[in-house]
Amino acid sequence: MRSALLLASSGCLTALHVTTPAPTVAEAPAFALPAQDGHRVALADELAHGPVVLVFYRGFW
Amino acid sequence: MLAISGDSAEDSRVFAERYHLPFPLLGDADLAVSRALTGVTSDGNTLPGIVIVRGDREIVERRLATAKDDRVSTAGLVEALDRALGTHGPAITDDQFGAIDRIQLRLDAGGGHAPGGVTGVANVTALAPLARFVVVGPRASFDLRDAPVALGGELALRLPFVNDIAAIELGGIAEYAPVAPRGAIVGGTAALWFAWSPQWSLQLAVEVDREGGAQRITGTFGVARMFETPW
Repeated sequence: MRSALLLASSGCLTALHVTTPAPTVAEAPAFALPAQDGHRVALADELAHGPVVLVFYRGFW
Repeated sequence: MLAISGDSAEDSRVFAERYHLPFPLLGDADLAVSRALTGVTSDGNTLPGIVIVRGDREIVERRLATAKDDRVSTAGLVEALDRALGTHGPAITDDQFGAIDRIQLRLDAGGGHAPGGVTGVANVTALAPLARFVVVGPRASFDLRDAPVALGGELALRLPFVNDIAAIELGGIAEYAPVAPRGAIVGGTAALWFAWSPQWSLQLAVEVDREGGAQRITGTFGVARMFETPW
């Protein structure tokens, strides 16, 4: 049973080519990244308006 | 909400346009932000995940994909947001204005028992929120039997519930009928108000008035168009 679970999970990992997830951190690091229209969006500016949901996705592929 | 991937600005622009995305798509070209918050896959891509950051920068929720098609459902995300932020689901809001904070233009009609017998009534009321628990505004009412037109106002205390999309209201009415039979009308009303959108609500009310020493009891059902409060 345990080996089956391990096999299943390794299958998932292989499917996603996971290396290592980021370590759990308590605070989001400050960052500013360019949006699709070129203007830079800073997390700090967004947080000034309230909580922010960051959605990480694999992109257009 | 911010979406982050390793995509180029051009790819993100095409993607956002194709799906009419209202939030910015940020390009994490060197994957530094991905590496810090979710992770990077061995094929050099962002590890999909959702991170909820509170205003003080504390990360209150982090969910990482564990399989290729692993996605958080909308309900799951709302639940996570509620748990993380202490909220209670999405209130009916439109551009940050909740129905409870809006000006209402109400049209109510119904009938009841007036001093002269059975009657039909209609009220047009404009109510503005003075505070979360108080609405006030002018009212014009029409009574088929006893007072063709009466003009005055209403002040109501309201007790919001169900996520501020419904309220019980207890109000006072003071009006004057300028045409015969002239006279003052004072009364009280109890109502159940329900907003089904930020623009429209329904209300069911019972009203008891004194006019010329006699009592009138009416029940009304109405609809309100709601507008953003300009203050």
